[in-house]
Amino acid sequence: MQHGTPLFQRICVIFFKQNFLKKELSKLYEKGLLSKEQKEKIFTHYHFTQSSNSLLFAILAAILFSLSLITLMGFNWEKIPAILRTVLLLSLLLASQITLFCCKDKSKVLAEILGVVSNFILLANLALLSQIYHLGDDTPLMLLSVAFVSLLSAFVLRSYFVFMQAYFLAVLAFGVNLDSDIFTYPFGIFIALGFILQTINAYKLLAFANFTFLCLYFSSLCGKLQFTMLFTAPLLSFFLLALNAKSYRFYALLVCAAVFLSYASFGDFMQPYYIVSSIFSFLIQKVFLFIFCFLSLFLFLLKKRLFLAFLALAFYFESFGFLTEILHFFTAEIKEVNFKIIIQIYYSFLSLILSVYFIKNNEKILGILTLFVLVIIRYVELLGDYIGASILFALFGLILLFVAQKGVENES
Amino acid sequence: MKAKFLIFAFVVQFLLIGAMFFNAYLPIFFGTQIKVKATGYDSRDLLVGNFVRFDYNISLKNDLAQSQEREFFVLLDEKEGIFGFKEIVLNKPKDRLYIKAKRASIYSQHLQMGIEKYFVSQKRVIELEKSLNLKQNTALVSLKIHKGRARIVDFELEKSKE
Repeated sequence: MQHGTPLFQRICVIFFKQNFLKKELSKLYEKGLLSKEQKEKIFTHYHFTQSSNSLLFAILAAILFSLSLITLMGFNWEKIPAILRTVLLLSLLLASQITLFCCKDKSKVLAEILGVVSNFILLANLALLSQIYHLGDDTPLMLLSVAFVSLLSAFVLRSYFVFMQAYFLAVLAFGVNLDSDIFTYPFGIFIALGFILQTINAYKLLAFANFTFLCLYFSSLCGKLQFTMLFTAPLLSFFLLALNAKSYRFYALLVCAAVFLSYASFGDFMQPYYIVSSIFSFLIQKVFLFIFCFLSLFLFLLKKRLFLAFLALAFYFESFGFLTEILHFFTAEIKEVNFKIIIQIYYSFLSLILSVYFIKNNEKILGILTLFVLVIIRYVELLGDYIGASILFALFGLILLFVAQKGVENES
Repeated sequence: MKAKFLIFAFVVQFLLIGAMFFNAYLPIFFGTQIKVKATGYDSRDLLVGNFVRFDYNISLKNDLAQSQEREFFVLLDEKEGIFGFKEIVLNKPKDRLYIKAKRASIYSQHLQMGIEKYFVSQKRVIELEKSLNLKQNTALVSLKIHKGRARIVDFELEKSKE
């Protein structure tokens, strides 16, 4: 993605240079050009963590210890006076803060671990108050409040792990409260920050989290998540592909394949056309979706990515009801038209085209897997009869042969 | 500079605990004490632990159920020292005892008043559920109410006279 402001570019350069330097130093050490001592000295000079795995294990251990504390609190020690329980947990929070303050300049690793732990102790404190005063359904609010406080700590400590903690607490708050729809909007802040941080640092886990939670968030904004997901997830995926956001490319393609295959399998089950026409009942929603789709198509065509433009167009074509309208026009006089089968065939071909796209773009495993799943689906569900399935397989074969022939022509 | 921000973050942590404490304790300190009847069963909160979930059998009917509103006011009436939940209204009542309630979920007709959870240990919650399952027993929940916000202060089992 393109980054606009000079300040943003500067920040990106600083972070990318850091990552580059870190990787290069490790390579030099592996080649024997640097001694272990020299490497450690340079790492300390630049405040790099020596081994990301060690830090990860330490953070995971901190999370487990914190969960141990929270479950211990959950036991509900009724025999210990409430005031004593409160004072104990408050003291623990204060102790973690003091330790963090004392070691913040000495060890970044320890500071990050203590940052994570102190946020969990804060959560335990709030949960204890909830337990003592029998507060009702405050769990999502508690999680969200701690997520925001953790976000503050993450910025102060400049810690990726504390940020991830804040992010996942916000995800939990969003998930726990999904039905009530009260804390939906604040979750958007965390996703936006996640995207910014991922753009700067190219963290793989963050890219996965961003993509997954953006899909969930966007679907929940459009209506009941379980009903809208099968339409909004590919919609977002095409948009991210159109933006050429490389970190999200694999997930976006995977989602498209999964959704196309599920329609190839189930046909009319939560068909995109049904979702768009029934769930997006307001005109403004439809206009917004149309602009979103148009923008994706425009970007695909602008960058001459015709294969993806075709796939996206085919998906939108069905989603906005054009396919159904055409079918109704041509089959008006035929009484028994099985639309389910037509939708299954339509998405079977789209899945096939997608698998070809994967193979042509060096996503061979994903391509073969998509084709394999498609063949199994079509073999198990014969689309009504053996002859129909046989013709379909023959057509699949012809398409692949045509693609192979084209490839040979291009090479020669 | 970083130290100042860090101290600020620490203070925010304690402020959050303080805010939560005031939110929890205000109705208990200033509130009016009443008793209401409820049924109950055991459940578990992901974070806080085991609790008895009290059901006050309050749900929206007719026009209110169809409305787009999320917040309601449940009015309380006294009969022989025990209060009962009667009318549900959309506007805040002036001279009546009431509890603020909200829909359990967006489309739900059931209302929640923040007095559904009574946190106890796992061992006790099982005992309480057994007792509450007996037909002759009902839960008598003592509440403190202040400006529509209610907190559970006590709970006892009551045997029916029938």
